[in-house]
Amino acid sequence: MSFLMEHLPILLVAIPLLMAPIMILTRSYPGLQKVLNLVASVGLLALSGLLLSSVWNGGITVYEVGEFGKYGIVLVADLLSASMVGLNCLIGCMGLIYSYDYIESKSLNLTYHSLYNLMLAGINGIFLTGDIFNLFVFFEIMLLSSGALIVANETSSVTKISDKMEATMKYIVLNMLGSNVMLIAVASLYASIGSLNMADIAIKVQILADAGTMPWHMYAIGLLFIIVFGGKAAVFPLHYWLPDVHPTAPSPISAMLSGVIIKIGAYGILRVLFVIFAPLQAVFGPIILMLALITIGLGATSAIGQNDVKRLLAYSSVSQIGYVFMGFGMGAIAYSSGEVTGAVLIIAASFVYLVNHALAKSMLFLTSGGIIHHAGTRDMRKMGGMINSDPAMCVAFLVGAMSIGGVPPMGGFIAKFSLFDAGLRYAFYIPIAIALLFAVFTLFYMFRGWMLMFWGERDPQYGEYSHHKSSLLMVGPIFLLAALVLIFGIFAEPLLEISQTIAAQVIDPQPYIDAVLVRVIR
Amino acid sequence: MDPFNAIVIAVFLPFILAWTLPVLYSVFKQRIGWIAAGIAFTCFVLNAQVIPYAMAGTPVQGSWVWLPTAGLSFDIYGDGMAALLALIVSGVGVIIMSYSNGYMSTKEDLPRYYQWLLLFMGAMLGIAYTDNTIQMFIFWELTSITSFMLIGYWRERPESVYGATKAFLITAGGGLLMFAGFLMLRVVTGTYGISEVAQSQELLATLHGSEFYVAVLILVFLGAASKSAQGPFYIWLPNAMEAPTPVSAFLHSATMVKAGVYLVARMHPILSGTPEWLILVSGTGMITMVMAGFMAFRQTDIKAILAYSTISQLAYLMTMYGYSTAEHPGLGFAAATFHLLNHSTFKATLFLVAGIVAHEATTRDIRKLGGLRKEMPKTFIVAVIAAASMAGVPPLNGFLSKEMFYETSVEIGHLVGGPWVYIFPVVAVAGGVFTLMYSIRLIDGIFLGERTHDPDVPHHVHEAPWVMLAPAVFLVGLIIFFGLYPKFPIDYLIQPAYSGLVPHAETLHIKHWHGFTLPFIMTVVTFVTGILLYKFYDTLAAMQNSFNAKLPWISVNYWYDAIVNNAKGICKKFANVTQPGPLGGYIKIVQLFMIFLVAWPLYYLGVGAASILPAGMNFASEPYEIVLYALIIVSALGAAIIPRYLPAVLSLSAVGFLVSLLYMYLKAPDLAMTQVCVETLSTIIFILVIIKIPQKFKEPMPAGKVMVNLLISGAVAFSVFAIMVNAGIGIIAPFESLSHYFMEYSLQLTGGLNVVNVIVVDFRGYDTIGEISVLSLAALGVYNLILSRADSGSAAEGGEEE
Repeated sequence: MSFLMEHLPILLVAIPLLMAPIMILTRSYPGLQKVLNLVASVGLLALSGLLLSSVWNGGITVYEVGEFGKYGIVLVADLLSASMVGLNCLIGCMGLIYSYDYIESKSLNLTYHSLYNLMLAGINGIFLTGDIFNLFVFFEIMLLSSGALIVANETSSVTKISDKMEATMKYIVLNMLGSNVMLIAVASLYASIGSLNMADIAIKVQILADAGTMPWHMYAIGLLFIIVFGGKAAVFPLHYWLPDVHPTAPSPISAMLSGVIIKIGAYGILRVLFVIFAPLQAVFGPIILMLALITIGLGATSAIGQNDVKRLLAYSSVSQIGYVFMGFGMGAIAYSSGEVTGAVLIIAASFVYLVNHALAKSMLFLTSGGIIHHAGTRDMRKMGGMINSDPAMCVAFLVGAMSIGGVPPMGGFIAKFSLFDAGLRYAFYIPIAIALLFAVFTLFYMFRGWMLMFWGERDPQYGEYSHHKSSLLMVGPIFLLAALVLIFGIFAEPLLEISQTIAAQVIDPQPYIDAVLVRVIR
Repeated sequence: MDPFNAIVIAVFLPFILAWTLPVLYSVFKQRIGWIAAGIAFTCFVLNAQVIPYAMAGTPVQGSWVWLPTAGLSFDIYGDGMAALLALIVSGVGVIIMSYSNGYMSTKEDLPRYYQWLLLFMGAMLGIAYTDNTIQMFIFWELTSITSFMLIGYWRERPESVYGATKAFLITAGGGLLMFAGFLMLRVVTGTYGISEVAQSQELLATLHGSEFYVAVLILVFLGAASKSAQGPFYIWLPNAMEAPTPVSAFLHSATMVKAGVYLVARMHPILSGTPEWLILVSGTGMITMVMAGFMAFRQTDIKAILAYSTISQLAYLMTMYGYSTAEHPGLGFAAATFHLLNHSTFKATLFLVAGIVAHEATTRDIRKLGGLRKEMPKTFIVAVIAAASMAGVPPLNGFLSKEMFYETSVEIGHLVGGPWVYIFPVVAVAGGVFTLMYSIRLIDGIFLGERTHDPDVPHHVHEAPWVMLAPAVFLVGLIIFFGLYPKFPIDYLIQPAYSGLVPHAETLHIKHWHGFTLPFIMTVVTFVTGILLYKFYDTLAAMQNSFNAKLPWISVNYWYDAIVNNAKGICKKFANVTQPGPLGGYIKIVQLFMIFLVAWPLYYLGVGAASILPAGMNFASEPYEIVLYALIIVSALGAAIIPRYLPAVLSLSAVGFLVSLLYMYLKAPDLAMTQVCVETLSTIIFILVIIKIPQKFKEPMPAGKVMVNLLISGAVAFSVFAIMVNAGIGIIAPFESLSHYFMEYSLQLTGGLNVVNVIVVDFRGYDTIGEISVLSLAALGVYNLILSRADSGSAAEGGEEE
């Protein structure tokens, strides 16, 4: 047990990384593969829970890979990292179970399992690393593995392979562009500061800012990270990959993309911009706020025009991540105008929003998979009346739609409430007014979609619905996530409390810096 | 029972038991309606526990911890007003759920029907007893959702879907505005509490002195108006009539639409007493009252007439709650509260009658009905009494509250002064006249006159079964009882309700006969004008129809349809413009954004053009370096300009291989080796992907476009160059690079002599594992691509792909 606790951070990366080759080696034994991967994935979920509780009770955990302190690479699990890891392991586990019946067996046996594990490893690595170059490395792992997963085949595929290829192309190219920018930024940062350890850089940037000797290119480097993380999060004008990729990916991968991967961008903003470039908040705050507001409007407006259920959800993700970024922008502005408590409050609200959107949207994407399975199409105009033939998906989609629309008693309501309340309290009237307007749009497109699919009657020219309903392996994860959506709407206190602490640590990173740099010599 | 517990149980019992109905249905089958009615009755009894406390002036208060971090708790405040609404909700609930046993066919999906009815009832009880604004919003939106589900009960019918969407968009959207108002209220007062603000002179003074007072008032009122179908928001209520008739009677006349009015009453102590309140609340009320009453004329569906009548009657309530001045803040409060109760009795009865008529005569079209008094004498009597109460015929309860309305209208006119002395009473009388006219029409159209022989109406229409008639008779009993003995409802319900909210309230004295006062004269005028004008009822309706046909844009529905029905098309176009598809445009936008991000600090810090690049740069280079650079530039240009994909990709990979040469020249063979590996792999991947994309020639680019592209990429290149060059000057003093540490400790800590090796395998070995994973991943990806190509190849043979 003590071994486990001591090596928790690295295990969360190492286990899935090791599972990848194991999955290739066992590809001729699909049953064994499934059992092994399920055990690993549930174990990972348990470990992430352990990490979260140990960080919550015992403070920030720093794990040195080697014994080189800031000169080598450290893994740092603070509350932000641990929660994000928990989110990843949870949604990852649900997605995996769902995949067993959703992904075509040949695709599943050969590469899906190992790619999936690599994706989980990459994402955990991103959340846990304390080194900015290492962050880049794990970004690449995550990017390539998720990119390769987009082309995995579903059992009842409704997407043409050429569409998948085109979407993958857009995904890889636009994200590679972001990677290049990241490389430029990291290299220039290293050349100027002489360190790759994020805590170390944070101190040095603060020293430069206090001395007033920060050269202009440091500002530019900081701002370039907006491209890096904004691109992952799909914020305008870096969102172009998302509406093509989310619909074409297999549903469990869409769930991961929307539930976790776009949240990596949000995590990056908190970790890199807020912690490392804290003195730049007055510069990047307004930029992020502007982008966020455009993103909210653009995503919500485009979502109304969609007929494809997954494309609707994809645009909705764009719009919703805008809400999260709106909080970041407002938080940075509040901080730079001296409202430290305000900044904490707003960032905490953003984090609540992030978690709730992750749960609800990944659940919705899994549900959309069930719907596609049942209806044999993604076009909502060709559906209708499914409330009678597939009531389980109907309930699940309704729960998700209510949460995304911010209707109580779902988690999305608590998220909107926290964000709007915090924003108004610190006088962000116009952003909140815009956000509110598009919240009505959100209600409209979510419920319109729901009604198109489940109410009314199906036009007979599209034939009968398939008789096989979603299997237990598909319905189980959906209902578990749906239950969480509801629980986070009613028993929201733990989430609010954790978010408050996370935000406090983001705004005042001194505990993080101390934990990393003040090391006990072993 | 402890009254706090009674309230909590009353609120949550329907929520919990609603989920047991599907199980109970398997045992009790179609008798499940009686169980639902029993649950409602239990709630009614629990609600009645609050009355003694309300009468004693000691409201039931209590709260549970909920979200302490957000400063939210679950707060209960049971005063007279809350008890009144709760009793109306649960009482009408009992009546409606009993009536539904006769109305709903046993083939219907009964568990779902009663489930949503119970959930709705729970949400309404929540609204009644809530003592903080956020909790109010939560239950508020729950009523919107449940109402949406019930309007769309027959979900396969397009009209139901249309009506449900409209109702949901307007009420839930309005709810969000109200929510914003509540949050603004929180900003000003620092609390979510309702009674806390209402009872604190200090907070009230802060609020009324605040610049946000008007914003709070408008936002909260918009929420209330959308729920109660006031002003332009009225349009959802007529379409909500697609719901089963008992639902319309319950939600859309007796209870849910009262939520908006109730909110206005609840916020009365907090927001009233200003000219803004009077103008907004009464102004909206008066306009709605007259317009909706008038528009009822052209309706032919009984339920539509009742819907417009409901809008108009709710507007009475709004108007009266709006009657408030600084000296006399609660002028119309008591009258409004009494009318709220009375309206629930007579309007619910009329809806039940409409349900009976539709059930027995199979149509609700008033043009096809007529002369049913002989076949349905009991229903006829019930309908006449309810309609008479609505029209204000003495001695029924509607007459009493109508006279109070006239009386307060006269008073407010005097308080405001000027021409308003006449305007208030005249508008009130106009509202009364229209009410009288459509009330006559209802009775005349359905029961009086000649029996029609329309093919839609059966030859023999039967009297309603007792299951449906009894609830209506019970309500009529209440109408008469409240009319003859107003002291009973006043003492037990109305007095506790208003005295808790309006400070220094006087005791209501209700008499049937006040002498020849002004209100009495107004009543006489109402009856005379109404009966005289009734002759022109059809002419007026025809005028309205032709007016609407000529000017379709005059109707709010026209704009709703124009916006909502076209929303999808417009947004589709918007999405196609903002997301056109080709990758090239996206890359260009990202690049432009990158240029902006690099340029912004220059502007922000005011860096001069001269200091963008560091001073003293060294441009000297050897000839073979220049050749290498030139080759790199040429192949990069080639990748951009060559119009076919494959050669362009090859040209791009040439850049990579040339860079590896550069590494070799710079004496880094290990780097060069890595670069070659990576470049080879990525070229393979690229080609595999590109081969799937149609291999046609790219469109020849116009020269202008080439220039623009060149300019953008040039600017990006310069931005990157500027950053790298600035960073390349060296580490900013006083910091130092990690290399000293590596040099010093590599042998000591790791035993390695080659520092680069040590960095790769020891200091940053974790990165190396990651890089290895990336490489294996790329290999896996290639494998996957080859695999999927093989698959699609076989599919193409099967003739599925083009």
